[in-house]
Amino acid sequence: MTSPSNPGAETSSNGAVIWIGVGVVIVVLGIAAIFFARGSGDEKVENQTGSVSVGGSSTTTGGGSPQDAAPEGSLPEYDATLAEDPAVGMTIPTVTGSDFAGDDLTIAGDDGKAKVIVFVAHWCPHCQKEVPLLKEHLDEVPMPDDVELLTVSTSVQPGATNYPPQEWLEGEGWSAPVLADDEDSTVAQEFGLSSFPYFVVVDADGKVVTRASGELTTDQFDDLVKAAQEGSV
Amino acid sequence: MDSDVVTLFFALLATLAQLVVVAAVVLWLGAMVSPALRRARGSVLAVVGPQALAMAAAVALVCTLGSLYLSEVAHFLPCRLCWFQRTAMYPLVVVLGVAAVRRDHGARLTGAILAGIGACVSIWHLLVEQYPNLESSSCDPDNPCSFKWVDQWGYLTIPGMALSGFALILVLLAAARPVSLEEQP
Repeated sequence: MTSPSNPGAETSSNGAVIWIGVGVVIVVLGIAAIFFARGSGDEKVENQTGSVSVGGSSTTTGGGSPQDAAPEGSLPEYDATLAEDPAVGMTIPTVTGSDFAGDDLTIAGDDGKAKVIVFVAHWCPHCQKEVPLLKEHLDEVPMPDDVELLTVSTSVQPGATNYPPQEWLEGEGWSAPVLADDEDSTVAQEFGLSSFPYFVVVDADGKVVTRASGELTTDQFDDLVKAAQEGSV
Repeated sequence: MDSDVVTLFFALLATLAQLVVVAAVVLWLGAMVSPALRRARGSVLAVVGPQALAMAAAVALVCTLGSLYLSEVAHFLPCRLCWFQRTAMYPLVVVLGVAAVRRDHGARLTGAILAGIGACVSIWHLLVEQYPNLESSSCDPDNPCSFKWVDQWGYLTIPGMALSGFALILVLLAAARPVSLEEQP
Protein backbone atom coordinates (compact mmCIF):
# COMPACT_ATOMS: atom_id res chain seq x y z
CA MET A 1 0.00 0.00 0.00
CA THR A 2 1.41 3.33 -0.97
CA SER A 3 1.25 6.24 1.41
CA PRO A 4 -0.46 9.46 0.33
CA SER A 5 1.82 12.32 -0.60
CA ASN A 6 2.95 14.40 2.35
CA PRO A 7 2.84 18.17 1.52
CA GLY A 8 4.91 19.08 4.57
CA ALA A 9 7.67 16.68 3.66
CA GLU A 10 7.61 17.87 0.04
CA THR A 11 7.96 21.50 1.13
CA SER A 12 10.83 20.60 3.40
CA SER A 13 12.49 18.70 0.57
CA ASN A 14 12.02 21.62 -1.85
CA GLY A 15 13.43 23.98 0.77
CA ALA A 16 16.52 21.87 1.20
CA VAL A 17 17.05 21.74 -2.56
CA ILE A 18 16.74 25.52 -2.81
CA TRP A 19 19.23 26.18 -0.04
CA ILE A 20 21.69 23.65 -1.44
CA GLY A 21 21.31 25.30 -4.84
CA VAL A 22 21.94 28.73 -3.37
CA GLY A 23 24.99 27.40 -1.56
CA VAL A 24 26.38 25.83 -4.73
CA VAL A 25 25.86 29.06 -6.69
CA ILE A 26 27.65 31.08 -3.99
CA VAL A 27 30.58 28.67 -3.97
CA VAL A 28 30.81 28.82 -7.77
CA LEU A 29 30.76 32.63 -7.69
CA GLY A 30 33.44 32.62 -4.98
CA ILE A 31 35.67 30.39 -7.08
CA ALA A 32 35.02 32.59 -10.12
CA ALA A 33 35.99 35.68 -8.11
CA ILE A 34 39.25 34.09 -6.97
CA PHE A 35 40.04 32.99 -10.51
CA PHE A 36 39.16 36.21 -12.34
CA ALA A 37 40.49 38.65 -9.75
CA ARG A 38 43.93 37.06 -9.85
CA GLY A 39 46.42 39.65 -11.04
CA SER A 40 43.85 42.38 -11.42
CA GLY A 41 44.93 44.21 -8.24
CA ASP A 42 45.64 47.90 -8.40
CA GLU A 43 49.38 48.28 -8.56
CA LYS A 44 50.98 51.36 -7.11
CA VAL A 45 52.59 53.30 -9.95
CA GLU A 46 55.84 55.17 -9.36
CA ASN A 47 56.13 58.97 -9.40
CA GLN A 48 52.39 59.57 -8.90
CA THR A 49 53.33 61.21 -5.62
CA GLY A 50 56.66 62.78 -4.88
CA SER A 51 58.78 64.32 -2.21
CA VAL A 52 57.88 67.95 -1.73
CA SER A 53 59.83 70.69 0.03
CA VAL A 54 58.18 73.82 1.33
CA GLY A 55 60.50 76.79 1.55
CA GLY A 56 63.59 75.01 2.86
CA SER A 57 61.98 72.09 4.68
CA SER A 58 61.40 68.75 3.03
CA THR A 59 58.24 66.76 3.66
CA THR A 60 57.93 63.04 3.86
CA THR A 61 55.20 60.56 3.12
CA GLY A 62 52.38 59.42 5.38
CA GLY A 63 48.62 59.58 5.81
CA GLY A 64 46.59 62.73 6.08
CA SER A 65 44.06 64.87 4.35
CA PRO A 66 44.44 68.34 2.87
CA GLN A 67 42.19 69.63 5.63
CA ASP A 68 44.60 68.67 8.38
CA ALA A 69 46.29 71.56 10.13
CA ALA A 70 48.58 73.26 7.67
CA PRO A 71 52.09 74.40 8.56
CA GLU A 72 52.73 78.00 9.55
CA GLY A 73 53.10 80.43 6.66
CA SER A 74 50.68 78.62 4.42
CA LEU A 75 47.53 80.11 2.93
CA PRO A 76 44.41 79.84 5.11
CA GLU A 77 41.91 77.17 4.13
CA TYR A 78 39.66 78.41 1.36
CA ASP A 79 36.10 79.17 2.40
CA ALA A 80 33.87 80.15 -0.50
CA THR A 81 31.22 81.50 1.87
CA LEU A 82 33.42 84.33 3.12
CA ALA A 83 32.79 87.72 1.53
CA GLU A 84 36.51 88.50 1.57
CA ASP A 85 39.15 85.83 1.17
CA PRO A 86 41.83 86.40 3.85
CA ALA A 87 44.44 84.87 1.54
CA VAL A 88 44.15 87.70 -0.99
CA GLY A 89 47.34 89.73 -0.90
CA MET A 90 49.34 87.00 0.78
CA THR A 91 52.49 85.72 -0.89
CA ILE A 92 52.16 82.11 -1.96
CA PRO A 93 54.45 79.57 -0.33
CA THR A 94 57.34 78.27 -2.38
CA VAL A 95 57.04 74.56 -2.99
CA THR A 96 59.50 72.35 -4.81
CA GLY A 97 58.79 68.86 -5.99
CA SER A 98 58.78 66.94 -9.21
CA ASP A 99 56.55 66.12 -12.12
CA PHE A 100 55.44 62.61 -13.08
CA ALA A 101 58.69 62.11 -14.99
CA GLY A 102 60.67 62.88 -11.86
CA ASP A 103 61.96 66.23 -13.14
CA ASP A 104 62.15 69.07 -10.61
CA LEU A 105 59.30 71.55 -10.59
CA THR A 106 58.98 74.61 -8.36
CA ILE A 107 55.99 76.81 -7.70
CA ALA A 108 57.20 80.10 -6.30
CA GLY A 109 55.93 83.63 -5.95
CA ASP A 110 59.26 85.30 -6.65
CA ASP A 111 59.73 84.18 -10.24
CA GLY A 112 58.01 87.28 -11.62
CA LYS A 113 55.30 85.32 -13.43
CA ALA A 114 51.57 85.60 -12.91
CA LYS A 115 50.03 82.18 -12.65
CA VAL A 116 46.88 80.16 -12.30
CA ILE A 117 47.44 77.03 -10.24
CA VAL A 118 44.91 74.23 -10.64
CA PHE A 119 44.68 71.48 -8.02
CA VAL A 120 43.08 68.24 -9.18
CA ALA A 121 42.42 64.79 -7.76
CA HIS A 122 42.25 61.88 -10.19
CA TRP A 123 39.27 60.28 -8.38
CA CYS A 124 37.18 63.45 -8.22
CA PRO A 125 34.38 63.39 -10.83
CA HIS A 126 34.30 67.20 -10.92
CA CYS A 127 38.00 67.26 -11.82
CA GLN A 128 37.35 64.56 -14.41
CA LYS A 129 34.84 66.90 -16.03
CA GLU A 130 36.83 70.10 -15.58
CA VAL A 131 40.13 68.93 -17.08
CA PRO A 132 38.77 68.03 -20.55
CA LEU A 133 36.63 71.18 -20.54
CA LEU A 134 39.66 73.40 -19.90
CA LYS A 135 41.83 71.37 -22.28
CA GLU A 136 39.37 71.94 -25.11
CA HIS A 137 39.08 75.62 -24.21
CA LEU A 138 42.85 76.09 -24.03
CA ASP A 139 43.20 74.52 -27.45
CA GLU A 140 41.04 77.32 -28.80
CA VAL A 141 42.14 80.11 -26.46
CA PRO A 142 45.70 79.42 -25.28
CA MET A 143 47.04 80.94 -22.09
CA PRO A 144 48.51 84.43 -22.62
CA ASP A 145 52.30 84.62 -22.59
CA ASP A 146 52.37 86.54 -19.32
CA VAL A 147 50.33 84.02 -17.35
CA GLU A 148 51.50 80.54 -16.51
CA LEU A 149 49.15 77.61 -15.98
CA LEU A 150 50.39 75.11 -13.41
CA THR A 151 48.74 71.96 -12.13
CA VAL A 152 49.08 70.11 -8.85
CA SER A 153 48.00 66.48 -8.77
CA THR A 154 47.11 65.82 -5.17
CA SER A 155 45.17 63.50 -2.84
CA VAL A 156 46.40 60.54 -4.87
CA GLN A 157 44.80 57.26 -3.86
CA PRO A 158 46.03 54.05 -5.49
CA GLY A 159 43.07 51.74 -5.87
CA ALA A 160 40.60 54.57 -6.36
CA THR A 161 39.04 55.16 -9.73
CA ASN A 162 40.99 56.80 -12.53
CA TYR A 163 44.36 55.90 -11.03
CA PRO A 164 47.12 56.71 -11.90
CA PRO A 165 46.74 60.48 -12.33
CA GLN A 166 49.56 60.63 -14.86
CA GLU A 167 47.71 58.31 -17.21
CA TRP A 168 44.50 60.27 -16.73
CA LEU A 169 46.03 63.70 -17.42
CA GLU A 170 48.11 62.48 -20.34
CA GLY A 171 45.06 60.72 -21.72
CA GLU A 172 43.18 64.00 -21.61
CA GLY A 173 46.03 65.68 -23.46
CA TRP A 174 46.70 68.00 -20.52
CA SER A 175 49.93 69.81 -21.40
CA ALA A 176 50.39 72.20 -18.46
CA PRO A 177 53.22 71.29 -16.08
CA VAL A 178 52.02 69.00 -13.28
CA LEU A 179 53.54 68.92 -9.80
CA ALA A 180 53.00 65.57 -8.08
CA ASP A 181 52.02 66.31 -4.49
CA ASP A 182 53.26 64.01 -1.74
CA GLU A 183 51.17 61.40 0.08
CA ASP A 184 50.33 63.92 2.79
CA SER A 185 48.98 66.34 0.18
CA THR A 186 51.38 68.93 1.59
CA VAL A 187 51.15 71.32 -1.35
CA ALA A 188 47.35 71.26 -1.15
CA GLN A 189 47.54 72.05 2.56
CA GLU A 190 50.05 74.84 1.95
CA PHE A 191 47.71 76.48 -0.53
CA GLY A 192 44.61 76.09 1.69
CA LEU A 193 42.71 73.58 -0.45
CA SER A 194 39.27 72.73 0.87
CA SER A 195 37.70 70.99 -2.15
CA PHE A 196 38.45 69.91 -5.72
CA PRO A 197 39.02 71.24 -8.29
CA TYR A 198 40.74 74.22 -6.69
CA PHE A 199 42.20 77.31 -8.32
CA VAL A 200 44.72 79.79 -6.90
CA VAL A 201 45.31 82.90 -8.94
CA VAL A 202 48.64 84.65 -8.38
CA ASP A 203 49.92 87.95 -9.77
CA ALA A 204 53.42 88.64 -11.04
CA ASP A 205 54.50 89.69 -7.53
CA GLY A 206 53.56 86.31 -6.12
CA LYS A 207 50.52 87.60 -4.26
CA VAL A 208 47.21 85.78 -4.21
CA VAL A 209 44.65 87.63 -6.33
CA THR A 210 41.72 85.30 -5.83
CA ARG A 211 40.86 81.67 -5.23
CA ALA A 212 38.04 79.46 -6.43
CA SER A 213 36.87 75.87 -6.14
CA GLY A 214 34.46 73.58 -7.92
CA GLU A 215 33.72 73.20 -11.59
CA LEU A 216 34.22 76.45 -13.48
CA THR A 217 32.83 77.45 -16.84
CA THR A 218 35.30 78.52 -19.49
CA ASP A 219 34.18 82.13 -19.00
CA GLN A 220 34.92 81.89 -15.28
CA PHE A 221 38.32 80.41 -16.06
CA ASP A 222 39.04 83.27 -18.46
CA ASP A 223 38.15 85.69 -15.66
CA LEU A 224 40.75 84.01 -13.45
CA VAL A 225 43.39 84.34 -16.16
CA LYS A 226 42.49 88.01 -16.60
CA ALA A 227 42.69 88.52 -12.82
CA ALA A 228 46.19 87.02 -12.81
CA GLN A 229 47.23 89.39 -15.59
CA GLU A 230 45.78 92.48 -14.00
CA GLY A 231 46.54 91.60 -10.39
CA SER A 232 42.97 92.19 -9.31
CA VAL A 233 39.56 90.60 -9.70
CA MET B 1 41.89 37.67 1.60
CA ASP B 2 42.63 40.15 -1.16
CA SER B 3 40.01 42.90 -1.26
CA ASP B 4 39.92 42.68 -5.07
CA VAL B 5 38.73 39.07 -4.83
CA VAL B 6 36.09 39.89 -2.23
CA THR B 7 34.91 42.96 -4.12
CA LEU B 8 34.57 40.91 -7.31
CA PHE B 9 32.69 38.24 -5.35
CA PHE B 10 30.22 40.87 -4.10
CA ALA B 11 29.89 42.23 -7.62
CA LEU B 12 29.09 38.75 -8.94
CA LEU B 13 26.51 38.25 -6.18
CA ALA B 14 24.99 41.64 -7.00
CA THR B 15 24.82 40.73 -10.68
CA LEU B 16 23.12 37.45 -9.80
CA ALA B 17 20.64 39.40 -7.68
CA GLN B 18 19.94 41.71 -10.61
CA LEU B 19 19.29 38.73 -12.89
CA VAL B 20 16.89 37.21 -10.36
CA VAL B 21 15.05 40.52 -9.97
CA VAL B 22 14.75 40.99 -13.73
CA ALA B 23 13.53 37.39 -14.15
CA ALA B 24 10.97 37.90 -11.39
CA VAL B 25 9.65 41.11 -12.93
CA VAL B 26 9.43 39.49 -16.38
CA LEU B 27 7.62 36.51 -14.90
CA TRP B 28 5.23 38.75 -12.98
CA LEU B 29 4.44 40.93 -16.00
CA GLY B 30 4.32 37.98 -18.37
CA ALA B 31 1.87 36.16 -16.13
CA MET B 32 -0.64 38.93 -16.79
CA VAL B 33 -0.83 38.04 -20.46
CA SER B 34 0.40 34.48 -20.82
CA PRO B 35 -1.31 31.44 -19.22
CA ALA B 36 1.94 29.49 -19.53
CA LEU B 37 3.87 32.15 -17.62
CA ARG B 38 1.04 32.28 -15.08
CA ARG B 39 1.51 28.56 -14.45
CA ALA B 40 5.27 29.05 -14.27
CA ARG B 41 4.83 31.85 -11.75
CA GLY B 42 2.59 29.62 -9.66
CA SER B 43 5.17 26.85 -9.71
CA VAL B 44 7.98 29.22 -8.73
CA LEU B 45 5.93 30.72 -5.92
CA ALA B 46 5.01 27.26 -4.69
CA VAL B 47 8.66 26.29 -4.41
CA VAL B 48 10.27 29.58 -3.41
CA GLY B 49 7.44 31.15 -1.40
CA PRO B 50 7.85 29.16 1.82
CA GLN B 51 11.60 29.85 1.84
CA ALA B 52 11.49 33.45 0.63
CA LEU B 53 11.38 35.11 4.04
CA ALA B 54 14.47 33.25 5.20
CA MET B 55 16.17 33.96 1.88
CA ALA B 56 15.43 37.67 2.24
CA ALA B 57 16.99 37.57 5.70
CA ALA B 58 20.02 35.80 4.24
CA VAL B 59 20.35 38.46 1.53
CA ALA B 60 20.22 41.21 4.18
CA LEU B 61 22.85 39.36 6.21
CA VAL B 62 25.18 39.01 3.21
CA CYS B 63 24.71 42.69 2.34
CA THR B 64 25.44 43.69 5.94
CA LEU B 65 28.54 41.53 6.16
CA GLY B 66 29.67 42.86 2.78
CA SER B 67 29.16 46.42 3.89
CA LEU B 68 31.15 45.81 7.08
CA TYR B 69 33.91 44.09 5.12
CA LEU B 70 34.25 47.04 2.74
CA SER B 71 34.52 49.57 5.57
CA GLU B 72 36.32 47.63 8.29
CA VAL B 73 38.63 45.37 6.30
CA ALA B 74 39.05 47.01 2.90
CA HIS B 75 38.94 50.45 4.57
CA PHE B 76 36.56 51.99 2.03
CA LEU B 77 35.26 54.90 4.09
CA PRO B 78 31.43 55.04 4.01
CA CYS B 79 30.05 58.38 2.88
CA ARG B 80 26.91 60.09 4.18
CA LEU B 81 24.58 58.35 1.70
CA CYS B 82 26.26 55.00 2.42
CA TRP B 83 25.31 55.45 6.07
CA PHE B 84 21.66 56.09 5.15
CA GLN B 85 21.64 52.82 3.17
CA ARG B 86 23.27 51.01 6.09
CA THR B 87 20.56 52.38 8.36
CA ALA B 88 17.99 50.65 6.16
CA MET B 89 19.91 47.41 5.54
CA TYR B 90 21.26 46.51 8.98
CA PRO B 91 17.88 46.33 10.79
CA LEU B 92 16.59 44.08 8.00
CA VAL B 93 18.84 41.30 9.27
CA VAL B 94 17.06 41.34 12.62
CA VAL B 95 13.56 42.11 11.37
CA LEU B 96 13.60 39.44 8.64
CA GLY B 97 15.73 37.00 10.61
CA VAL B 98 13.33 36.95 13.55
CA ALA B 99 10.35 36.84 11.19
CA ALA B 100 11.84 33.85 9.34
CA VAL B 101 12.45 31.94 12.55
CA ARG B 102 9.00 32.71 13.92
CA ARG B 103 7.36 32.33 10.50
CA ASP B 104 5.85 35.73 11.10
CA HIS B 105 4.84 36.94 7.68
CA GLY B 106 3.37 40.09 9.20
CA ALA B 107 6.92 41.45 9.27
CA ARG B 108 6.98 41.54 5.48
CA LEU B 109 5.50 45.04 5.43
CA THR B 110 8.13 46.41 7.85
CA GLY B 111 10.85 44.76 5.82
CA ALA B 112 9.46 46.07 2.55
CA ILE B 113 9.30 49.63 3.89
CA LEU B 114 12.91 49.48 5.10
CA ALA B 115 14.09 47.92 1.84
CA GLY B 116 12.09 50.45 -0.17
CA ILE B 117 13.65 53.39 1.67
CA GLY B 118 17.09 51.86 1.24
CA ALA B 119 16.48 51.32 -2.48
CA CYS B 120 15.43 54.95 -2.91
CA VAL B 121 18.62 56.17 -1.22
CA SER B 122 20.68 53.80 -3.38
CA ILE B 123 19.07 55.21 -6.52
CA TRP B 124 19.82 58.77 -5.37
CA HIS B 125 23.41 57.76 -4.57
CA LEU B 126 23.78 56.25 -8.06
CA LEU B 127 22.49 59.49 -9.55
CA VAL B 128 24.97 61.50 -7.48
CA GLU B 129 27.77 59.27 -8.72
CA GLN B 130 26.64 59.78 -12.29
CA TYR B 131 25.78 63.46 -11.96
CA PRO B 132 27.97 64.83 -9.13
CA ASN B 133 26.56 68.34 -9.56
CA LEU B 134 23.28 67.13 -8.03
CA GLU B 135 24.85 67.57 -4.59
CA SER B 136 27.84 69.85 -5.08
CA SER B 137 30.03 71.39 -7.74
CA SER B 138 33.20 70.30 -5.99
CA CYS B 139 34.67 67.25 -4.26
CA ASP B 140 35.11 67.14 -0.52
CA PRO B 141 38.70 65.92 -0.09
CA ASP B 142 37.69 63.66 2.78
CA ASN B 143 34.91 61.53 1.33
CA PRO B 144 32.43 62.84 -1.23
CA CYS B 145 29.37 60.74 -2.02
CA SER B 146 30.31 60.93 -5.69
CA PHE B 147 33.56 59.09 -5.02
CA LYS B 148 33.52 55.55 -6.41
CA TRP B 149 35.45 53.15 -4.22
CA VAL B 150 34.43 50.31 -6.51
CA ASP B 151 33.65 50.51 -10.20
CA GLN B 152 33.20 46.97 -11.47
CA TRP B 153 32.72 46.49 -15.19
CA GLY B 154 32.17 50.21 -15.60
CA TYR B 155 28.71 50.20 -14.05
CA LEU B 156 28.57 48.39 -10.74
CA THR B 157 29.48 50.59 -7.78
CA ILE B 158 28.79 50.09 -4.08
CA PRO B 159 25.34 51.76 -4.14
CA GLY B 160 24.58 49.66 -7.21
CA MET B 161 25.36 46.55 -5.19
CA ALA B 162 23.20 47.86 -2.34
CA LEU B 163 20.33 48.55 -4.72
CA SER B 164 20.63 44.99 -6.05
CA GLY B 165 20.34 43.70 -2.49
CA PHE B 166 17.36 45.89 -1.62
CA ALA B 167 15.60 44.95 -4.87
CA LEU B 168 16.15 41.23 -4.31
CA ILE B 169 14.83 41.55 -0.75
CA LEU B 170 11.71 43.29 -2.07
CA VAL B 171 11.17 40.56 -4.67
CA LEU B 172 11.60 37.83 -2.07
CA LEU B 173 9.22 39.58 0.33
CA ALA B 174 6.67 39.80 -2.48
CA ALA B 175 7.11 36.08 -3.16
CA ALA B 176 7.04 35.00 0.48
CA ARG B 177 4.15 32.68 1.38
CA PRO B 178 3.47 30.93 4.68
CA VAL B 179 3.11 27.60 2.85
CA SER B 180 3.12 26.49 -0.73
CA LEU B 181 0.07 27.76 -2.60
CA GLU B 182 -0.58 24.25 -3.88
CA GLU B 183 -0.70 22.97 -0.31
CA GLN B 184 -3.19 25.51 0.92
CA PRO B 185 -6.58 23.97 1.64
